[in-house]
Amino acid sequence: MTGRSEEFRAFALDRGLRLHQSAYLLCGDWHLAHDLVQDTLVKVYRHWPRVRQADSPDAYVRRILINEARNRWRRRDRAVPVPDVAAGPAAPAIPDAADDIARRDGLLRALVELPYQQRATVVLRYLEGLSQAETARVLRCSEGTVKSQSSRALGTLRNYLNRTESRP
Amino acid sequence: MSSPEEAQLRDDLRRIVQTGALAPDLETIERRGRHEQRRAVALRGLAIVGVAGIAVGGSVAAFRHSGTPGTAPVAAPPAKTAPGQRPSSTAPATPPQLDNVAYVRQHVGAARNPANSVVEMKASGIGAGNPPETVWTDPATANQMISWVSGGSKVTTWQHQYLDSHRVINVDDTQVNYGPRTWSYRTQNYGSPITGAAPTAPVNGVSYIPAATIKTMLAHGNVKIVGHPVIEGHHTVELRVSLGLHGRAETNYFYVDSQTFQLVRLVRVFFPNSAQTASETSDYTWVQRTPALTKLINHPHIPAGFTEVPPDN
Repeated sequence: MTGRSEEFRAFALDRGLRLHQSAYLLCGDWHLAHDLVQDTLVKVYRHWPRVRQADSPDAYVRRILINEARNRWRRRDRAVPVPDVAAGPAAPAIPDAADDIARRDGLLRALVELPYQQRATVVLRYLEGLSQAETARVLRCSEGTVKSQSSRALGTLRNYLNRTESRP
Repeated sequence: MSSPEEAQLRDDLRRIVQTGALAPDLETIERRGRHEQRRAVALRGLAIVGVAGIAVGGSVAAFRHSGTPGTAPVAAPPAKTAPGQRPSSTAPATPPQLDNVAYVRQHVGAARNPANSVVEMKASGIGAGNPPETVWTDPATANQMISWVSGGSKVTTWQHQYLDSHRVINVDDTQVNYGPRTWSYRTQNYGSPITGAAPTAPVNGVSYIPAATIKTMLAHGNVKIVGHPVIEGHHTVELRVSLGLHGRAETNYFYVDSQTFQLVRLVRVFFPNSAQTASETSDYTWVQRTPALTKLINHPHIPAGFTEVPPDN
């Protein structure tokens, strides 16, 4: 195995899971997420010298993933039904784990229906834990845009967050 | 600093994805990466060769045009394989040049009908409500034998095309209906005398488009490569050729064999994007010319005992 290959493999194994999780939140489908991660890692492999010399290889790879997911999103069938969990009956007085699962399912569906820029912002900010500045760098936009996109996304997702929760 | 909502969102997202598990298939990823790298290099090289080829082709064409009056300018084909010939078995099935419109246009335009062949076509969609037809065409004479089923019985018509003594195109149409056991004959006259050579395409015929006409269509239409499907066992290049202003008059889809550049299928869409749109599809098969086949196409055969009736309309 060449040095390049060893380095790449170590990087891919280390970052693969997190990329897969981010990809899932971006597309809402584990299998599609798997494809996205593979396409992303193929690009990373092709441009490995450039990736490893980047100021932040992680930011570089995240940008590739975000762009891949965006390209697929543009080609998708837009008719994705979203169950209106928020309009359902009020939460039961006694918390139930099943309600929690249903709520998060609704949250995921609502997330996938968000405008792509808002969705990417949510994934980078709240799953990846990036700061506003880091998110802005990955998305190539201003921090103000990240702030407004986050705010709008939270506004849409709020109905799926304000439910009674049963903590394990 | 984050609000309770943001904290909950963060927590929810982590729970949503915690079921995910990925073991990246590194072998596949590296193999794909190497393949795409090679492809990118090849495409960059092709772009350079294409630009150089156009420049060289233009120079050759200009030289030939100025050097030999009366000779049509023909750019030198960049192919290793002459049109109409199959390449050696070591050649790739789909060389990268097949993504280059100029290359494919040149080879399709240069392709000739296979020597000593006749064409069998399965044509459908010819006119609204008309049944599919089997059309045999002899490129040497432009004569056609066309068969279809009408009212449960087979009908065959022979269309023979010729110039009369005034150089007017005439088409003799002999039609045999095997149901009622009848036959009819008529001659269609195409008006004014023509100058030059007799047409090589059936003026009254169906579907068959000779190589020269294809070349003209490719030269004057807006050509795009839209795919590489397998048609009737042939690896093909699918060319979309739009004719008329903004392609409104007719859009043709040519499926040409990726090695011989012979036509395999032709789909003609008339008046695309309009309420009057219609399409016809013709699958081409080139068949070795034999005396029996030549006779069958060029000489109407009226079975004994059939009754002559007046032609329709």
